Amino acid sequence: MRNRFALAKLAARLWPNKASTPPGIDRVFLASNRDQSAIETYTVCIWYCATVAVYIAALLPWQLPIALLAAIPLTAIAIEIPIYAGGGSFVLMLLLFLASVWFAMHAGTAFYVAWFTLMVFGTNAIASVVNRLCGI
Amino acid sequence: MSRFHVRGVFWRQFLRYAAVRVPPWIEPAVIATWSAIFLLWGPGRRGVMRNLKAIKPGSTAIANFFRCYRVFWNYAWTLGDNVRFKAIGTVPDWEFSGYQYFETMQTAGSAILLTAHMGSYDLGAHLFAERSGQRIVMVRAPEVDPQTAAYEEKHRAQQVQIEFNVKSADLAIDLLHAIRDGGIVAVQGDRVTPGIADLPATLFGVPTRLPAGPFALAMASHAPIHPIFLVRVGRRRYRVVAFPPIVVPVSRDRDAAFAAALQTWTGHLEDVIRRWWFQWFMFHPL
Repeated sequence: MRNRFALAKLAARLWPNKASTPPGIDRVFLASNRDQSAIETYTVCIWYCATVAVYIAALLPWQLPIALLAAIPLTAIAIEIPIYAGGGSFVLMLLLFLASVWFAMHAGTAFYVAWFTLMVFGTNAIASVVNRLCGI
Repeated sequence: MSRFHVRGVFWRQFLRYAAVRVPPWIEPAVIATWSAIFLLWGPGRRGVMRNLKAIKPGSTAIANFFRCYRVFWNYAWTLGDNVRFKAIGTVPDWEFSGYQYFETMQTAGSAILLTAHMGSYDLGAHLFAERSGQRIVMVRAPEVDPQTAAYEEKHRAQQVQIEFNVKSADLAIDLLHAIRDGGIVAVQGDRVTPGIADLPATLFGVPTRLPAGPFALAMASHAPIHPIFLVRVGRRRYRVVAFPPIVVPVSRDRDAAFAAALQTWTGHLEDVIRRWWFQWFMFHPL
């Protein structure tokens, strides 16, 4: 298994990767690690950072384009604070979930983004149940 | 040297702290941020940009600045992969180009592995140690900072023996013995450190000096030189690029024999760097 999140595990089972060996390559040795999928990693990373950027932009007292631009470096700092404070994967996701609940309850720029994020969390939870039932 | 200098021990300690705590799915964002911060390291940035100017003639400074970021980004990934491997044993995917040459070296032993400042020495050594019973001796330049040197020594991979190229005469004899006992000696042949014997060479049209040691060792030990490069081709995915071995014949005309072998080596080096310029972690100008 080369995926971490339930949704990615389920997707990998439903649509197995049939990637062929790249041209000019004689042998490939694959590592078995739940964080090995580059597609999953980059997708989750972009989704997480984009969501945090929108939340930070929503808190800034400027118009959206300027606020979004200012939010980019602030996001880079904001996501690292909980990591170096000792928080791991669970803490980062929990913080995003709580922020999404808060923004979903308030009308504004981040309202739809927050609901989308909560849907992603919900879909992943459903995928987790399906994976358990199917032994994935 | 200050522990907060770019080569100071603080950054190694911080990297290790981060490598085991940063969730892998947020790693790209963290690495992107730190790569941007390390662009402030003027000498390293200027060294890379000057080399890029030679690799890509006619390239503009602004384009090379962004290319330099890509070099730093790849270097950060490589360091992160290396530390993660040493701290928690995470191994990447490996793919091979020229597998038969790699296999020949692994099974026969008594060889010189000539490589460049690309990929990760420790990850590569782990791969070699896993697939071969031969002893691996790596030769590398010592760390400038004593605290950093002590820290790296404490956390180095266990599968390999590391020798520092500081006392060339003694080291040459040790390496000769290692090869005669069937071992594989790994040397980086794209940069010469002060006090080490060198040979005149040309890389990308720029006159430079490259280490003479691997070629002298090959002639003295009758061992082949295997040009092998480790290239990071994606997230947690590395490619081993192996070329046919270079034989340095025993000859009265040492200079001619060395020059021929060096020419073959620089040809492979240029091919690989031209294709994977963003993987050449050479922070000193040619």
